[in-house]
Amino acid sequence: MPFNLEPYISTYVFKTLYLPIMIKVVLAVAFPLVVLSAIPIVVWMERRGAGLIQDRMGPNRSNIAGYTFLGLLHPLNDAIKMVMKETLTPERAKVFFYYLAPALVVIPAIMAFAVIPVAAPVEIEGVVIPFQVATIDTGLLYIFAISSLGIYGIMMAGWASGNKFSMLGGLRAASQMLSYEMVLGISLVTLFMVYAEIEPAAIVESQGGLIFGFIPKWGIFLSPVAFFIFIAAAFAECNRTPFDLPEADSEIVAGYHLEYGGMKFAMFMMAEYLSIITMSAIITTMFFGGYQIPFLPTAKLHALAGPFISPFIQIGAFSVKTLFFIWLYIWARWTLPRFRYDQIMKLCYLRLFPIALANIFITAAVMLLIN
Amino acid sequence: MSKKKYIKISERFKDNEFIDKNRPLTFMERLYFIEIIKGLAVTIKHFLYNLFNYSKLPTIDYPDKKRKIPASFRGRHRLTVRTDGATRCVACFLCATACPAGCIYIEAGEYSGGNPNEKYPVRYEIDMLRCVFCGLCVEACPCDAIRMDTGIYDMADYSREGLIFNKERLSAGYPPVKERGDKFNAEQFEARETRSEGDVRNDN
Repeated sequence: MPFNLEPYISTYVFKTLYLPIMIKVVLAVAFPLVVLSAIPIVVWMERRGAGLIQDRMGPNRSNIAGYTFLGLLHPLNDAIKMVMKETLTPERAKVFFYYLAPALVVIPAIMAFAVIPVAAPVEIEGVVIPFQVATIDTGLLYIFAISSLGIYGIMMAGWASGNKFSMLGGLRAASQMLSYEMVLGISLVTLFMVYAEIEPAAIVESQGGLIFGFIPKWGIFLSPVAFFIFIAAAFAECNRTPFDLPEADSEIVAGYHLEYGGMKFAMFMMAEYLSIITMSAIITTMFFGGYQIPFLPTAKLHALAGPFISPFIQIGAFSVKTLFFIWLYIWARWTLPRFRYDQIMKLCYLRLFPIALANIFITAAVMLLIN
Repeated sequence: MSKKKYIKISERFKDNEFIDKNRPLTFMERLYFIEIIKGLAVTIKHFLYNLFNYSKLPTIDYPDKKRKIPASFRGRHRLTVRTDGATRCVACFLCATACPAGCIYIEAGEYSGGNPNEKYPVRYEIDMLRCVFCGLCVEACPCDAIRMDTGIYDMADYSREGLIFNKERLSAGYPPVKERGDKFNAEQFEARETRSEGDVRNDN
């Protein structure tokens, strides 16, 4: 009887080759789906939150058989309305670019999520399940590369609409986002120095410890100045109030998406909320320990809850932190008035940029002293 | 040195508290950061207060609930009727003459036989789109035939014709007025209350 190698080979191959690919495919499908389906929730948070902040009720009338679900049906109604709307093309639009722009805005906003880990990798029967779509060594550089692609869509929309207000909005968006992209990158250099890593999963892993035995070893405690600079730049990067000059309704009507209607406009809205979600996730990953729960490192959690439940606990921790920063975006929008254009540029080049640079040198000096 | 200019913002500030718009910002204010935190504190206070006192919000769920309106509120007109069902109006044209908007159209007719009232309106129409709800027609009427005590203020229609109310529409649905100057009786109040059952909330 000949020795049958078949089952051994196939099990081995299955575990080392096919299964990891299948896991990655599942993650690559699940991540965008989850993030996209979070948009209505964020829109709901924004509208109801705005209402309560301004002593109103917010949208609460849409209902199915009398059940309003706290107003959660309004985003659904909006979506139906947007899809059903007539497709209009402005007479002076450059048609190809006019239709390409909304897609170019949405895709980069969702792509940046690929390198963000939402839970520590678990090993079940020799198969490692990473809760991160792509583990790229360049990590954060990938995030910067992708998020700066978002500018193209907005510029293209502004130019291709053939409207002067749109053009102004597009120009404002381009200058503002390029300027703050720089600050965004430089403020993170201190974190690269502190962690000696630029791969998000590794960064989050190194944030599991404690400083002096009682402070979680999170980015905000290691480099607080970088955090405040980063958060200011992140607001500008998402074109959110107080840096929402590209859309400034009272000055240039609606800026770059002025000539867009129906689902094309909805794409811009989605991109805005997607970039809020992505930015919040990046802030959580870089400064608030990602999925780490304070005083409960991954090894301890795995020992307590086992490899099946602990990833979900960590995903929960990550989601709570991210939701807080999404709420911060909304909260700040209904608190702060809009900056003037020259104030934005001054803030970027004369305040944030020098402080970020100085922060690098000071951090380097402190690290030198400690070691 | 620029001349100092003091601007009093509102009565809420005490008399000696002014806001100096030309005052140079202090260092802490120039940092902007602390001022942002202060601003965020103000908005989150409103948010949390309203979240946990949702029913105290000044909003009224309008089409479902309505604000209680005072008894003297001038709502949509109605033509009062006598106990025999005939309209009290004697087609004297005083209301149409008093009307500054010219929205009342009357066509007079004569009673045959021994009716002491002699005249009645064959057509009595009010164009609600023109009416300014001033109440002069009510004051002009010598017979208490037209009143504005229905409390209805939300008339809407898809056509202009739908808002021209004729005699039948104006007199339908209310009990007869026996004598001139009859007070708004209990049943009539009942009919009005059901239209505005909203609990009156703090409306600051």
